[in-house]
Amino acid sequence: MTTSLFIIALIAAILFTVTLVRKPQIIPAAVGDMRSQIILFGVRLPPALLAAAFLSLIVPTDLVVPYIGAESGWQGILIATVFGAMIPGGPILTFPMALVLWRAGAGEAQMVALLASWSIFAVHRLISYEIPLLGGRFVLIRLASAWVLPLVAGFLALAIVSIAAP
Amino acid sequence: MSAAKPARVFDGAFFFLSGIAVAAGTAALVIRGPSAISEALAIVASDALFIAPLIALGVVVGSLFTALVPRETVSRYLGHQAGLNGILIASFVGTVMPAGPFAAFPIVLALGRSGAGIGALIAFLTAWGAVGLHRVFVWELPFMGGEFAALRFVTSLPMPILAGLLAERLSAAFPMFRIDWESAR
Repeated sequence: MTTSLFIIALIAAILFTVTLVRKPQIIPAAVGDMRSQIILFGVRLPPALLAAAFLSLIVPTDLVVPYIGAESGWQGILIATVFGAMIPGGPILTFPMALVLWRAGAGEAQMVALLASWSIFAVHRLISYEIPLLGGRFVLIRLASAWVLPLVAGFLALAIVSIAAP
Repeated sequence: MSAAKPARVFDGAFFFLSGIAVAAGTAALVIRGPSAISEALAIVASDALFIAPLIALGVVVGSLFTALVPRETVSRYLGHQAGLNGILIASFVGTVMPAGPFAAFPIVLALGRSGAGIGALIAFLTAWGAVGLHRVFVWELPFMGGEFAALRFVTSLPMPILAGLLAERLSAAFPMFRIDWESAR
């Protein structure tokens, strides 16, 4: 975790320096944007984490692992894809849930398929943005072109994980 | 993005999440007894300790990036590109663009009306939603760790390109996969 923290702190420092040198006038707007996002996450994250913590206490590990564990192979990827497509929330709900599954023993490739599927089907975005703004025809074209991709990502991840594993 | 209206803080999402927390908490109390509360709070405390600073830094990165790369630049690069080139550019722009859905979808609408190809539009939206560097920083890295975030990012890279190419093929072959933007809404 400390490595992640270091990397992202470094990126933030670089971006801040670039902004300071090239466009210092945008900093107030950017800070305002940061503040409103942090307030929003600060309010939403506690109930999301609490929900995930309770769920992790009641979701039995031995129930999850046979279906989407590392040993579940391509069937696990199929199951994870179907499950991911049904998650109806934004990242603030999805990632705490994903953490529960991850800790319960879900496989890496299966989690890749699950999150890819969630991001492609994105029921929440479909209902609140895509259909109202772009129309049903666009959604049809997009899903026809993209529905198979979570499986592709999952299988690709399976290949990478099996090559990387000793 | 800078002109975003002040959103209500305690909105539907907050109450939805709280509802799930209460329901799951009740179930945990029934199944595991009173100790469930303290166990859950301990999990929340340790999660929050490593997730919160990462999310905060992710927000800093996202906001600075959004301010540095204005929406007009995005539109200019995507405007009238076609074919594989358009799909590749759209995939790249969608990947690095950190805007929320309230900016991304209107961009697609505006681009579609101004004549951008369907392949580029689909590639842009797929890259934004499924590859999204911004999400890697704000969500994937804090929750899932660096190794997993890298694996998911790499395996997602082909997705927008494949989706864009397929969308172009489909819309060339079948009338039902074509959009008349003027009557699309």
